[in-house]
Amino acid sequence: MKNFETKELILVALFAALTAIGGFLSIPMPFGVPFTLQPFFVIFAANLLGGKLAFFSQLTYLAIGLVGIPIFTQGGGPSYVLQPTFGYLVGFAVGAYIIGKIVEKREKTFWNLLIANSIGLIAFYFFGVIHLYLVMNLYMGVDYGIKTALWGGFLIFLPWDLIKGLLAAIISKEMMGRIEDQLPITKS
Amino acid sequence: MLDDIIIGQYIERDSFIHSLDPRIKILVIIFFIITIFLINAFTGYLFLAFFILVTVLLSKIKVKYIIKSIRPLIFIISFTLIVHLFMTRGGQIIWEWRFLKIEEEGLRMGLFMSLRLIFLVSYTSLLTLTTSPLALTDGLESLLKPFEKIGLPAHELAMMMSIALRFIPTLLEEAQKIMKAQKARGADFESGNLINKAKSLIPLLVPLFVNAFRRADDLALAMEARCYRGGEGRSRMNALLLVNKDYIVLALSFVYLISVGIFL
Repeated sequence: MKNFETKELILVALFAALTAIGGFLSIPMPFGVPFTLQPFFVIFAANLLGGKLAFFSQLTYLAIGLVGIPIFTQGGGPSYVLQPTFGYLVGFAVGAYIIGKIVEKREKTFWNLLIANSIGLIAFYFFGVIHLYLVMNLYMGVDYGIKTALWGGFLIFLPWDLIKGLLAAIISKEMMGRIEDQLPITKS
Repeated sequence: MLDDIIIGQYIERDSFIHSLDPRIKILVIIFFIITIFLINAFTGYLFLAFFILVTVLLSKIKVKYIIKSIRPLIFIISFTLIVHLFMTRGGQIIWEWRFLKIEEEGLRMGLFMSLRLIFLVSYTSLLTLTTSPLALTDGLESLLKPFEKIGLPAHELAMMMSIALRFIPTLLEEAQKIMKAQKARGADFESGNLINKAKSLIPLLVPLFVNAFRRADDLALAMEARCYRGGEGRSRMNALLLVNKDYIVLALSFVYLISVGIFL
């Protein structure tokens, strides 16, 4: 039984690398959640590679960071699990899978991409906010209400991220047209 | 920027810690993490500090590198400290100014939690400081092997990690090159409103992704031409080999850390 074709394996690795690069293009913000271009690259991975490969690209990214190589926005290492923002990274893996699965099955029109991306964004935030809430309350021992978590970890980023989802759909559509024959997702 | 982070992490030295098997180092780190969460008194930290000190001395790594690895977490460490100082109540009042109050329990919890983070980060950073990324992924692959039975693709994951690590600097350099090339053609990445700025990313992203796909093609061809066919039955040039000192280190650290964790 073979899990991956050699080329698939390499694509997963390259998109993990691209995700890391996306993470370094970030603007620090107060309250711990940095403003990064990363969701952009996660969405591309999902739109271009499909669910399974996109999921593994994020898993690879997570694994590299967790063993201690500083490719996360604020370093790396097992202790990164305690960073309030770690949940978003988990959300990326799940979100990428969801987006990829939706895109795989449908016609690759702009609207379908946009809908898939928006659903994926919700998954990013779902894990992000839950983790933020848990870390603040259980680990830091701060009384950090779910409302504050929703506000600080979700709502203030929502408008900007909806734009990101929209742009990612535009760019993905553009790219799919140009490199159609090479994409694993448009094959078969 | 990215180059020094990735390459600057591993510091080559001829030391005892460097010569240990990566699997042993990963396992000791896991024991260490378990212990740090079991401890609930400062005396336990004393023993952990001693353990860290011994490892640092044996690794011949300068302390400044370890301090450097704590720096990215300064924000969360000080946040933990400050929040506990002012919010946790209990014990005698140590200091008071208008509505701000520091009580004994707050000081204790604040120091305790931030020390926990500092210890955790400094010890785990030793792993990447003393182990090359390749050895790390090899060790991880070998440790994850047993989980292959439940469907975790250990070999593939390790392979992807090594390839990704190899390509992070390359792709970053490529991104910079494309940016310059497009600027030379008159592309404008900096001005305009948000939508325009984002749209200006297209001439950067399209070549970047197209190149990534082409690279994947080339590399896959090169690997398959050399008969790469997944992890099964694959042998290594530098096979991991456990020797006596690895077993001794593992046993000693296990006994030391677990007893510190349980008794203190």
